Amino acid sequence: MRASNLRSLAQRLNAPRVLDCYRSAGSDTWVGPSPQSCDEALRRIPITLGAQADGLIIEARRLERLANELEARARLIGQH
Amino acid sequence: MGLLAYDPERVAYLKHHLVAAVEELRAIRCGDPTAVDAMRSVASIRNEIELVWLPLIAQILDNTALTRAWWYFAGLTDNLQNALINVMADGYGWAVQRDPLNDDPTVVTAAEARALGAMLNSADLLNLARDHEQLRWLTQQLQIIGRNRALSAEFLANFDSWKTVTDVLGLEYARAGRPEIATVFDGLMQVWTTTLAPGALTAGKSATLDVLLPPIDDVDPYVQALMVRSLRPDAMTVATLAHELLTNWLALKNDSTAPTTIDRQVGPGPNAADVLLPLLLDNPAACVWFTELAARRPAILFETLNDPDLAYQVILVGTDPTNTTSDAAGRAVLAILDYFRTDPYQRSGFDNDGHPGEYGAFLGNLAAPWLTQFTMSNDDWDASAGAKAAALRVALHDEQALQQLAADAERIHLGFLDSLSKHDMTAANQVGELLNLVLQLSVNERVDDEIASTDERFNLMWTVVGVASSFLPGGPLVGIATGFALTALGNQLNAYLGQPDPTGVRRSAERTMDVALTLAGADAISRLFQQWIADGRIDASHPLPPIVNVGASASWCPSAEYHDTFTQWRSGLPGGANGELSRQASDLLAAFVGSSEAQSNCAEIAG
Repeated sequence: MRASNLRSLAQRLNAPRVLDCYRSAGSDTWVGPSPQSCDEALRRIPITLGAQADGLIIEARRLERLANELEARARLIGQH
Repeated sequence: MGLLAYDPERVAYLKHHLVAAVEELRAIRCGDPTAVDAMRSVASIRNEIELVWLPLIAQILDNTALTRAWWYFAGLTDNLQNALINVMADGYGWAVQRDPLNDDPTVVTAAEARALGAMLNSADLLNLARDHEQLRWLTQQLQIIGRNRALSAEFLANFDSWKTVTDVLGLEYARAGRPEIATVFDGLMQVWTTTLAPGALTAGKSATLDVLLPPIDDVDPYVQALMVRSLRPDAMTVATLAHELLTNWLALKNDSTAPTTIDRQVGPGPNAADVLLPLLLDNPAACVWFTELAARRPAILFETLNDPDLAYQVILVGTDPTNTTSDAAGRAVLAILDYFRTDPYQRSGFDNDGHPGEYGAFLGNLAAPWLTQFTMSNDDWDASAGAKAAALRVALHDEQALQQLAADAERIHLGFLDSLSKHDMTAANQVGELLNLVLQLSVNERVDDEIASTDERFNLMWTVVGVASSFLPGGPLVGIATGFALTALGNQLNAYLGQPDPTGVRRSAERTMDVALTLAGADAISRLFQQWIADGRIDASHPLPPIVNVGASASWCPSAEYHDTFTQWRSGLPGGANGELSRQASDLLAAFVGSSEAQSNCAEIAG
């Protein structure tokens, strides 16, 4: 369940419209010191969210592995 | 003041996009404890958009865009500070207004770098060259751009007016020497440096202007000099580039059909060479290299400078025995003396675009450390004895040169240290030859020009005697190097010169030379004798060495007479005529009273 939630969150982080915002904020739209800062900030968003999503996937896998191990142990105990 | 330019429709679309993104981020939920970091990032991004960028966009869109009339009125156009704004407004019809968040002049964006390059192409450069504030700002921007390879590439991609910009600014610099223009050159070249291959600025002897400077058609050498200085290559590279550049400069100067270079358009003032040569002075190796190059054609030095003293300094460092070899110095010294055989500053049509050089002292300095190399028995230099004597004559022709040499015992000593072994006969022969050569030149000079003073030549001789004493056989004769001893010798000579002179000029001069050398030799022997007594090698009651008779008849020859009495005296020394003391004294005297044209003549007179 937890792993599933984490995978779902990761999926949402990888797909939002905010990832594409920088495409609208380049020098075709505006120029100047603040527009430059905005452009840089928006370009950082996919990097940040992508890294977070990767971390969530890793954590989800760890939880799934743990769950599988626990299930396997439970089966072994049941057989005995 | 920071301005921003924008396309209102696109900014409105950006706003719409960001609002949707915020809503999407707001909808993301997750209560799992391992998702805390991720949710914190989501919140942070949402906050930045909500609290920074959306309000900025809203402010921009809510304000009425400044009209073109307003910012023209406010004087914000036609200057480089607003290059980007001008480009976007003029080129794309964008709206313009103050940047509400950012007024930091130290931030340069890629778009601004591109725009600055483009604006420089069409800027009113004459106004720019006279506008201190804009020049200061431009320098700051170029420095920021130059520190970043990507920004530099953006600037250079749009900047294609190297010739116009550097010509206008170079001319203004030649006129007024304003430092803020030099700093603009620094900035431009800092940007250009980002395009150079690693190691280009330390290429040394293989450096070329083509490789290091931007390609500019019919480039003015003065502009090139400013660019080279701003590039800040190492000194060896500067030396190589300076030689190439000054060769071109001289060719243009001597070509009546070529355009006048910028530095010569504005009258007296620093030329290209005056800009470059100071960069070498702190680096002896660079001076040596440049001297070697310039020796192939000394006009490159002496006919390009507004201030000839710069050339003198470079050459003196470049030929100093502590910096170079005798062979290399010889090529340079002989070439330069040959160049000065006829006073270049008096040549018809000569124009160095500066003040005439007072080169006499320079020539004296130039020759000082290499005096023994001018002698016949020294074969360090690849030149005939006649050529060397002729060159020394050039060096000693000028009164100032003689004064400089006579006063420059330290440099003469330095040269002796480099070329003479202490206390051997070779040293004695070379010193003796040198004394004879110096005085022979004096004899010749007096024949050529009776007015020419020989006093300085005798002063030089005493200096050489003083410096050479520690190299002569018999060990260091410290006493002879003292000013007092030399003054006493000089007084004896003057007493001789003060006598009536019924014979001809040449014979009188030859006789003077013979007297001077004999006095110097006799004094050296006398001091050697004192040294023997001090060392306990001879009894103090032993007969003193002979003295020179300076008051004899017209047929009298002091060296011959002294030799006779000296021979008698030395045969009475412990060990006899073939003993060690006798040989030592004989070797020492030979350094002063040896064979020379003048002495031979004198001997003929004496019959």
